[in-house]
Amino acid sequence: MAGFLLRKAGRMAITLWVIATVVFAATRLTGTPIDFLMPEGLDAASRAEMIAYWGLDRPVWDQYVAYWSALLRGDFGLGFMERRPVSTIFAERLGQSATLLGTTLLVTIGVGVPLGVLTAMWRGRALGSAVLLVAFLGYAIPNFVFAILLLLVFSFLLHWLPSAGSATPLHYIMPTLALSAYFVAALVRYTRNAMLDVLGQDYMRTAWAKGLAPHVVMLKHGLRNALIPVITVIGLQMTTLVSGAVVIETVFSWNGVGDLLVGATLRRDYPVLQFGVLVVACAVVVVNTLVDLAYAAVDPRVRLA
Amino acid sequence: MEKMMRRSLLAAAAAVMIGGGAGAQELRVGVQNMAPFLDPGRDFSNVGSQFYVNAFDPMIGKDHTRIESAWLPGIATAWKQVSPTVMELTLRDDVVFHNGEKMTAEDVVFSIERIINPTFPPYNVRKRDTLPNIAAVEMVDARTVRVIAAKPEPLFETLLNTQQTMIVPKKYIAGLTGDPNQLENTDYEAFALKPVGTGAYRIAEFIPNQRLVYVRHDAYWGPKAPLAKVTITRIPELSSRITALKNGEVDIITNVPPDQLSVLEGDAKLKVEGMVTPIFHVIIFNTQNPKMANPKLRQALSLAIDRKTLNEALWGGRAVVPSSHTYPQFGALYMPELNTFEYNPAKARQLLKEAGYDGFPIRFDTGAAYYTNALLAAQAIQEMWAEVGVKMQINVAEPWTGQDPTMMARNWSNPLYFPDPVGSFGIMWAPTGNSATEGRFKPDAAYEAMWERFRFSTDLAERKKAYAELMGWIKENPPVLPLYQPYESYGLRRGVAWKPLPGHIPYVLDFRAGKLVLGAN
Repeated sequence: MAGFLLRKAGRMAITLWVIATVVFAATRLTGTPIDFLMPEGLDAASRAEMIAYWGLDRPVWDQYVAYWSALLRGDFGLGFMERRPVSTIFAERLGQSATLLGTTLLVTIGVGVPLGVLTAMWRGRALGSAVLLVAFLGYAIPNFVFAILLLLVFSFLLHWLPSAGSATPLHYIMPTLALSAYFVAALVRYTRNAMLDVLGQDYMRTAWAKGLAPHVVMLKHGLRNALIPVITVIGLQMTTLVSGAVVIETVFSWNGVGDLLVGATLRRDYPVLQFGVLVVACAVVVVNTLVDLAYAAVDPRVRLA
Repeated sequence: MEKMMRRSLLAAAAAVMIGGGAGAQELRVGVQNMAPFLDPGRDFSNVGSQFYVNAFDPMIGKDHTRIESAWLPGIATAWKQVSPTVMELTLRDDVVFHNGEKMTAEDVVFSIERIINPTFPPYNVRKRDTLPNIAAVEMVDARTVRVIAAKPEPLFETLLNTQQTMIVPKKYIAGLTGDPNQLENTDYEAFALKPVGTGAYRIAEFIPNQRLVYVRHDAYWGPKAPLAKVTITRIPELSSRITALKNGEVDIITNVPPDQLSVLEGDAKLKVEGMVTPIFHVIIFNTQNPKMANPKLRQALSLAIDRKTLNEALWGGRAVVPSSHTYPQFGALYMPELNTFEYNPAKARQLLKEAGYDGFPIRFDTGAAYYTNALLAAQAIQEMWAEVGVKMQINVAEPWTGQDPTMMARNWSNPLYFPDPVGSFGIMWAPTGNSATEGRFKPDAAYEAMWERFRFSTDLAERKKAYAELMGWIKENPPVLPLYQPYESYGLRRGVAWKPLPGHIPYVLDFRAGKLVLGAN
């Protein structure tokens, strides 16, 4: 276990270094942020002074070395636009974004997996087909369209739910629904297929033949074996979930991390962008590690040593 | 049954949450954009200018309900121009900053000094565009300061009323970082995140690009603010802003385009306020690009644009099509009679022939959504230019291309920064203005001489004559074409009596005494 985690940490470090370097290079290849930071009509002398002030006059290699030496000291730099530590800028926004991703993940797993099992059990019955039909709809409707539909019904017409911001638990209902619809639908289908594969296996017939209670057969023998591909899918969907959150945060005016990253990309705010991509990359790498650990938990054949 | 109960519980909870926030003295505003920093001296942006008036005061005040300039006492109770280059001002002695410190003449001197002798680079630009003629500020005694100009200054009052010269606290700023007796760059940066002024509201919370909260400043020297608290939240998406207003989450929203007005007007609980804004959406030409050098070509391109049709189609006729680079806010210098810009396609065709235009495509740069209706206007102008035989290539790209030598034509806006032609036309087209600095406009000696007479003459009639001559030069050799003054609309809850005022620069949200009433009908 310790060896597994060490190797994993080593690979994680290399991945993050590669990502940070690619982002560092890519942001600078697209041009300078100076046009966004300073007003139009700057004379050459003031322009040069400003470029030096932001530290953008130094050769890219110097900037790269400075970036890393600061990074290793735990200094992530100041955002160009706001001139505040990027860690502070993110801290203000990360909580609500992480909570949205968390509630979405909970809803996705909490609804998607049980529904998947049930539709597998209800195969050939009207109820099962109905759930699948709804799942297909959830899969097919783009999340922003669904979000706007929710806004139209629950805020614009019924005035039941608040439309903008993330101040109260009620603010989470529509964004979570809009963001999780696609993933719930996907998970229902994956879980159902995985369950159907498993249900036809010999050991399932054996389990039934032993006279075990149906819930023991379905959960212990069925679901546990079906979960491996399902966990893989959840891990893979994490990045899609993060990019989906960018859109949903915009529709519901969340001022979250997604909104911050889009703004930083448009204005070429290098420090914010570099830090933001690192944070997202870390999150994805950590989730993938958790997925590996989950494999071991559900499948004793997988060894972490 | 259970489902029904849950639903009604949900609805009740929602009603509490949605309706909860605002008391009788509290206002909630949903804006399209929030500023990344707040420092009135450094800021020149349309986003930032929304927020300064409530929290800061200039030395000389203004009656913002009137379109022409009418000066009022501000931080200065009286002022007198003691010579063509010297203005002497008497200061109030009961002004208290939001941090509780008493304002002194030293703060006033510092506020101007930090711009005219900048050590923090961003102030350089403000020195050049707003205060190039102010040479020094001196403290005469504890209640008197002198502002000294290099050349005779006809615009002292106007300049000492600008957002850039609003008063800020020296000691507070110096003490923010590092040595409390030194003014470091980091002090100015820290100030822009925790701004302190003398105005009717203090800034209780500022989260850059997100939220701003004003709270009434009880020690304010003037009439008490009508509201205990104003919360300004960024809601960038138009449909989200409209939904938030309809849903009772905010009381005012900004930036409602003309095609959405009917959505608000159709709701009995809401209303719309709007104003023709003192800002021009313009087209500019790169006169220094060899392809665009012939003034006849540029004249033709200007004459080919039917701006009345653009106004009807894009703004429902609510915008204003100008005849010259002039606003009613210029007062005596408002000269709509100049007729600098007009629509005449026949003359355009004739001029194109004389210019020998051979059908080469003209690149027109525009952002996708930066200016309301910009892309639609570009497409309509493409058709209008095609009518006279000019091929336009629309190039949609976000970065500013004003300094790009290959730029041919693009859209831009030219706001009124202060109520004089110097503060609008001059910012962009003075011989040292933005356009000349960026190399796309090269005024000749004659133009520079006209500019000197217009800018520094203390005789109003002479200034008027010189401005007319400048407009004549621009007509013959156009670097710019104002399309229209947009009509900016706001959505409001019916009980809120507020509207944008013509005496302000564009987009100012003024919630001071007499400017807003809650609970009105």
